[in-house]
Amino acid sequence: MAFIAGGTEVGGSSVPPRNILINGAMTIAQRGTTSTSSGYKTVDRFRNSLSSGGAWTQSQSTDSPAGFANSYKNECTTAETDMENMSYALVYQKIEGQLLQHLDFGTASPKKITLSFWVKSSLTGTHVCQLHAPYIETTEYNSHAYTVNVANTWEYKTITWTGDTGDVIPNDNSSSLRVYWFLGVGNGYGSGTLTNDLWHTTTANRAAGQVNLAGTVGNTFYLTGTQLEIGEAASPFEHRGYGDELAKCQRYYYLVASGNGVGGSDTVGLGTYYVSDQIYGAFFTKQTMRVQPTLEVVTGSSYYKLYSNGQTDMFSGLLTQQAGTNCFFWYSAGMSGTAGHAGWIRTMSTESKVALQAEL
Amino acid sequence: MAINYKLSTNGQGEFNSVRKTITDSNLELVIPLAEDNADYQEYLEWVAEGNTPEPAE
Repeated sequence: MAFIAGGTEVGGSSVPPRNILINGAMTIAQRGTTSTSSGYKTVDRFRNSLSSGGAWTQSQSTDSPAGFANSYKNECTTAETDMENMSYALVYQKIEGQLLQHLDFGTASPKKITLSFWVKSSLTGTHVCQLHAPYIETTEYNSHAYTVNVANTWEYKTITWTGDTGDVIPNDNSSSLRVYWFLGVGNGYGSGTLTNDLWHTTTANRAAGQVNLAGTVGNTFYLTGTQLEIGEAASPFEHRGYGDELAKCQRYYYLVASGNGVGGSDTVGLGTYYVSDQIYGAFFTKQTMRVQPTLEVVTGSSYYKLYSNGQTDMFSGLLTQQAGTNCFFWYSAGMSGTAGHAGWIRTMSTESKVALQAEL
Repeated sequence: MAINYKLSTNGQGEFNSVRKTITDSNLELVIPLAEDNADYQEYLEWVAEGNTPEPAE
């Protein structure tokens, strides 16, 4: 139920979630739980990014502080002891502008925002978090150092930033604010001087002082309980239900089916032979996706099977007929059936996978 | 790890997407021609670097 305090509605369904970040407790991992590749590969909405910053394995870990079940782990597997000029290794989440309108950035009275998180790092010393606001031309970055006091031990950190008065955040679905946790940087990003809570455009100041976690194989960086909220103080982590958190993630990534479903197979959906050698089907997305999604499909001989008219038809993958944000039409050619016959499709390999991606 | 792009069509043969594959991986991304799609933006950057996608089959 909503109520009014000082003329401001402070409760009820119209109030934005306290935590602006999605999947802050790292509980959702639709893509998988471990990967040696960079990018969006494990926990939803979070990714790592590397540029000559060594090689890393990222995973959804069960190593976590009290009150949490999971964390986002990045472990260095190939060291980069001498980070080149513009090298970096970092993890981050991007946020849509339309989820940030209540921050009042670009006005005379922007809201202060506070980031809180649990971190466990192999290295003690200075680490750097940063807000990156690519929509602001004059003051794009705001960095803040934090100190890891004890190696390989969970520590709770909070950082408060002053809102930016420069430009209004675009009220759209583009990437307007990014929250970075640096793992290591070269001189191009670290040779300057870091001033906490200062909006600037000096690249060399972005992560000055950051320890180099990429310097030794086996170094680890764990992160969980991440929360970005309005105000000058961190509040307790907003634990959302698994279904609620999954629904938020599905705006950006929707796992339709994978080979690891019930009984070693999973249901892809229904389809119909439009002509004798083509079948068409639709995925009704769980959420309106951020943009027209990319179809992500693992292909292989006989990875998918269609059951129709008492017969089966094996096929290797799917293609896009029409990529809608609420309904995605797919097709597959090279089939052998009867136009007008319907059927259902299953995955047939442990490797099979069909998903829609609309990440920032 | 080599990235390859190939133009792709709908079932009626109309150009509507780009297929991205990576060497030694059977993961395929079928990317719509949507300017706000991050995968399509990455494809456009790849083209801007002077690369050319394979034609559609």
